[in-house]
Amino acid sequence: MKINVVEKYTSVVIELKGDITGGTKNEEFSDTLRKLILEGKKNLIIDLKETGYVNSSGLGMLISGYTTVKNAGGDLKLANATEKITSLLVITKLITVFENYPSVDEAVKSYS
Amino acid sequence: MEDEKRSVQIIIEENKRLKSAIAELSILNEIATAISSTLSLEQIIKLIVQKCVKHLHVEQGAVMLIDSADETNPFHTFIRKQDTGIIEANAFHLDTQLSGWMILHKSPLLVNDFNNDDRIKFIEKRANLKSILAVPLMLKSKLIGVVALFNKRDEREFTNEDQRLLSIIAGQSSQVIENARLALREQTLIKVQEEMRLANKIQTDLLPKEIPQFKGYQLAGRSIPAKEVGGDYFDFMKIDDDSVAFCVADISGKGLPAALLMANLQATLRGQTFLNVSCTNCISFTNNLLYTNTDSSKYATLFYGILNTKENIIKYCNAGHNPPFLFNDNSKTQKLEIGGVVVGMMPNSKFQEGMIAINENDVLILYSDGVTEAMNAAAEEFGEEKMLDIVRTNLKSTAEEIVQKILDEVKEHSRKVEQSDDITIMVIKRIE
Repeated sequence: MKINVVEKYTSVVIELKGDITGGTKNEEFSDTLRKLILEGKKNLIIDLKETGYVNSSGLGMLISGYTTVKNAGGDLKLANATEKITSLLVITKLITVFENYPSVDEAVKSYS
Repeated sequence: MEDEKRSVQIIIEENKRLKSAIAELSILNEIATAISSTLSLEQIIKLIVQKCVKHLHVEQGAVMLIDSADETNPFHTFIRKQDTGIIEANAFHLDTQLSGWMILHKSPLLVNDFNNDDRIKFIEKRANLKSILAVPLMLKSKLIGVVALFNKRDEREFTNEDQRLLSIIAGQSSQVIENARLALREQTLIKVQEEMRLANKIQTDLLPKEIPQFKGYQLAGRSIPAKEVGGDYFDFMKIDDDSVAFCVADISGKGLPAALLMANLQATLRGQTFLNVSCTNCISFTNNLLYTNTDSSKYATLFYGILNTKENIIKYCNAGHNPPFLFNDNSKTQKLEIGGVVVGMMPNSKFQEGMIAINENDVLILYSDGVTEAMNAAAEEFGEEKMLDIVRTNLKSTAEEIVQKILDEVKEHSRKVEQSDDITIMVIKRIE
């Protein structure tokens, strides 16, 4: 998994490329979020466009990221979830927790 | 006359050389015999230091080994054998500094004037340290450690012969030390494997050994971990003569961490079944407990149901688990989806209770994603459809037979592929 951070208007887009399988990448991800929060950036979007496989540990990473951001008074929304990821969110009912948008633009718009 | 004198002189010299060669050989032989008779790393190093202190007439000796696995403190002084208390204070500093020098130079160091030798300026001065002889322990041109001797006895100095002898000893010892280290590592590994085997036994024992029997119903379940232990869990817990609680859970992650949480989850659930609380209360309580006990990246998908065999009703709560399917006699299926989000993720999540009637010849199948996501060699998943087809064509079979049939097909599908996720299947069938 590669993490790429791009600012877009009032939001910050975090692109996750490749498979999300937790492990050591977990820390890099939460460090990225913590840094953004410290900088006062709280409108966060995870772009899943180039994300491959997400396993249970990877989903755990997203959940823990969501909790971190929420506890700091921010929000973490998803964009471009693939069919497979959407079905995982539906089964785990996390779809009721994460706001999920078909594109980054729409997710950005939701913050304004 | 002169010639004769010279000859005698030569013979005396030769004799001396031979004597010292024999002495050297007997020292080497003694060390070789001693260290080859033991396999313990500590014993071997102790022997090397003891023999060096004795035969090279020094006050103290030490062996430092490089432990490449420990990055913060790669050098370990294994043994400091000392006859006097000369270099007790800050021995660790001295060893580290000496080892540092050896990493850079990888060559013998002979110092007879400790306080005035420029090569070791960086080592702090010590009143009681006069001379040092240190040689590297090399294995296949890699530095694995250092043998160091301190203070030649009787105010004498280290000689080139001393250095030569110590170098030979170091050369002989390197392979023996390495072998002992490998043996030690192997023992540790065997111990870990043994512990994992025990963990597997403990976890297997946690799963229901005897599935409770109810008139008119067949209950069956099986769980196969991908590694020695896993994060899948299923259970049947008798509440009273008519009711049984059942559950299937999949804890995030794999292996030992998931297995520990599985045991925790099971204890929580079994404790509540005993109190006969409703499905939603049970899941709410479990959610809060799991949330408190773990960080938010750890969670579980959990299906919890209570079957009343007299009223033929199942009440359930599905916390983010793959929905079980209820097959009617005419092969129609219903999904058991009502519930809420995965447990352990956030406190005070709201859960709803579902209810469904189970008629004669109905089959309920519960499973973990290890079944549907089992891959074959071409990275194709087993799939939900295939699993449902198997149930559909085997509705007349017993619950146990259906479980076995699915397991067989999954096994066949992932032939030649290592099982990557825990596999759990549970079947409840009403027969009359």
